[in-house]
Amino acid sequence: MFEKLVYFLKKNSDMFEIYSTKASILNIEVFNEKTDFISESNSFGLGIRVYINGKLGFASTSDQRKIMECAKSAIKLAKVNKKDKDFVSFAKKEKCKNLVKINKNLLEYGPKDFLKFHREFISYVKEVDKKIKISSSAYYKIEENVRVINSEGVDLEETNLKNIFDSEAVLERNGRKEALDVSKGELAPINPKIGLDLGKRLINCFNKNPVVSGEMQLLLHPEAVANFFNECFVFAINSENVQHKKSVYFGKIDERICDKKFNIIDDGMTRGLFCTRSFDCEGIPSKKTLIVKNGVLKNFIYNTYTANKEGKESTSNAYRTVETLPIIDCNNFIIKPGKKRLLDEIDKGLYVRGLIGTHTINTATGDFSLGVLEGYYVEKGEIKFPVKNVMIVGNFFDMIKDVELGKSIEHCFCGTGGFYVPELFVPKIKVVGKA
Amino acid sequence: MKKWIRYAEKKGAEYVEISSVEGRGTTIELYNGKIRELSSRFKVGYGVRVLYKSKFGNAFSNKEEIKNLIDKAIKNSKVMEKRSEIASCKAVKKRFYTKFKINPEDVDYERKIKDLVYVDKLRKDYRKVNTLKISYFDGTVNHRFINSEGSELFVRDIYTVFVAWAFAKTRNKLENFMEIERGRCGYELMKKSEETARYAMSKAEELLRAKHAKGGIFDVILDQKLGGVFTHEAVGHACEADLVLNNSSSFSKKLGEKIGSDIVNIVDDGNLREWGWTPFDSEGVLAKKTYLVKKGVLLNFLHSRETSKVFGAEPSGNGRNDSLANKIIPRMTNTYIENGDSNFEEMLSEIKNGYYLKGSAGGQVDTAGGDFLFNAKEGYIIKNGEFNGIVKGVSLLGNILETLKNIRLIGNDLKFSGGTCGKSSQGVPISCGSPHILIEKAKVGGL
Repeated sequence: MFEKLVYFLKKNSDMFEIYSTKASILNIEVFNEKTDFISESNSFGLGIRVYINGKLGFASTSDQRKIMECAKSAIKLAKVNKKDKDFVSFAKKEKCKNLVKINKNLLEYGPKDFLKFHREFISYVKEVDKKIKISSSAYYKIEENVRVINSEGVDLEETNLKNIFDSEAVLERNGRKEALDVSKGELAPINPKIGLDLGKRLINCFNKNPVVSGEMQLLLHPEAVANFFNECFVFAINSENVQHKKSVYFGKIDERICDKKFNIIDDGMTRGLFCTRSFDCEGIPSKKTLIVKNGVLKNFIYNTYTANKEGKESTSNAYRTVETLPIIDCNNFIIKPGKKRLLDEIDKGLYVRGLIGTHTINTATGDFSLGVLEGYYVEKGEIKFPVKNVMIVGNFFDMIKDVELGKSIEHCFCGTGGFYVPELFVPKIKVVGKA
Repeated sequence: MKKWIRYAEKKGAEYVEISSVEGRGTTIELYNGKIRELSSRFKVGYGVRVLYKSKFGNAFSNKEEIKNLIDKAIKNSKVMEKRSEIASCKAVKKRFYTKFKINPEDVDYERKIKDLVYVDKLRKDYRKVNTLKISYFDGTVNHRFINSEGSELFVRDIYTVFVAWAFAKTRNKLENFMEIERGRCGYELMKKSEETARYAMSKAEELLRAKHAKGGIFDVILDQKLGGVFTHEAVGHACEADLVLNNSSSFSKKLGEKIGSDIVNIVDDGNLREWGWTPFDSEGVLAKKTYLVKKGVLLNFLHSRETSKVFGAEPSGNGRNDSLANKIIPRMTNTYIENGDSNFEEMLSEIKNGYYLKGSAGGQVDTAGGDFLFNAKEGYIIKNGEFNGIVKGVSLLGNILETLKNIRLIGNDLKFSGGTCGKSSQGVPISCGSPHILIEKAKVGGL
């Protein structure tokens, strides 16, 4: 459908790039255990970048009738823009292997399958306690076709299929109310058994007690670990932030930045992982990048623009919507596991799974003071009681300098969706509780 | 469009809504004077919602294929389990327009770039600022709404946004400060760009000198921005009728009860031409001024037509979605605490040992449990009624019901600030407002 557009852009620009998406989304929402919203949506999007006489222009549209107008806007913008000496080229053509296999069961999954799943999910939750209510759930099945065409010979197309499920369970006991969420993103239909774990976690939330302010040990559940790394670490290894000296890791390549037990990889190419794709949003075939080796910073993550600026190759980390320029974000973010069972390490401390306010973490500096939503007081390796009205305070980049890593990794649906991280033990954290 | 309403009714729909949104806009971003992005965008979308045999069905596309959307919406409604009713509303025919002095579309790109480059050059006055990111967005959105009751509504909405994000650095310290100016207005907003950028840069430098706050229980004064976020996070969300209905609000059984101190009055009003201006909501209901709390008593919740019916309340114009593809749910518009009668100096003199907390770095609330957390951008130590140094990274943790009772003084200097509110993965523009407020015995987190 883009022949005419390609012809026009070849004639009127020095270099160009077309990024287009076609998405169909099934969205079902459940309220008080009954479905109350079903929507099907089909959307198209097109983003065009052009380079003319050393200058860049970019325009986007979601209207299929306005493709040529969109190209003309991009050209007009390039003409009024200033020269960009750091721009070298759009992605060069490279060999690209197909890394994505669509799950057939998910492809055929429709509203009726979801309703069956949800009934089973509810019965698993209620297996723990009949009085638990599912107050709301939301389900998205997203099928997205992406195509990248550019003047350097790239012409790639791929379809991705994912589904996402969120749910909140509420339980009232003796006038006290507690609520907990579960959030999953998968490439195959989701297993309703996750309801069992949600129910078990919820009944453990009762009889919350405060703890006394002071310093103690901290064990973070993989979900809390993923949240921290997504808010701070991904910002700090983003090459654009580094080039603009916004990152604390500016100038720190080959230096120790964290505990030497850390080995961290950005992986866009291992089949079956949530963020795996054959190529990124600029048409760069997916890669695997070593970020941290034994606590030493080895690499940042790049798109073509920031890579060209340093004479390097893109690490295939371009993400975008049609409306935005390619930004840099992580693919599957993997922290290799350690060897210990960490709960046993706690003499006196907190085990924290859910935090409130993670988006208030100071991304650039790493300073945080967060509320604990789901956390337990632990003594001598044994969970004693759930905590209430407690804050943990500290600095992320200091915190990861001395840790222990848990012995297994979990997939956490956070950020771009593919965090594969273990538990993290921190020997000392400031806790604000009761006086 | 009207012929499609008749088509849907013929197919058996009891109620039909057809909406369209057409938006266009410009983005310009500068990093230390260099243009990072210069772009234009054009968006279009069509949405249909039907009530068919008392069940809702929805469909969305960015192609104008209304017949197809109606067929899909009816098909989808058949899988629904819940039966819905909606509160009755009078048919309205009305058009609304943003008030502006200079239409951003009449200002050419060259001029916009020149104005931003001018602001960027102010960097030279701030020696420790090593990076300044300036973003400019403008846009025009035409939103049309018709329904089978005969309502025909239209709004042409124009907005302008300016963001300055400054990073300051010394040898071993890095700080940053972001300041945003935004309005449902035209290019005249850019008159404030110099002041906004200067504020961000001077604060980033000042934070380099800031120490971490000492945590504990303190009396605090919140400025208008943070007071606004408190109102929004702690009170507004818990008043959303859908959360009340499924028992995930701590206000669920509290209507008519005293929940705060006598001086607290809290309002939501989509008519105000602030960032949350919503002259009619996504269901075509006109905006209304709603008292959530009056003299400390919980009076009303925020409603969509569906929740209005359940509660027997009048629709309040709070049924919103962020895209025509998404579910309409009760949302806030412009939510604020009304002015009290204290002045700032008086409040300050009341505090022996506490903090003055300014600006918002975000917040979150667990509406069911009632715990909230929000983070201040700047904090100042108060000792015996006087400022005693700047602190950083301060956040406030509290429980809604406890904190509302601990509001002791309310200022007479109400101000609004805009933002995007996230709920159920949907982000809608809102504003929140407050005068300065004094809260006793607040839990402050710090190192």
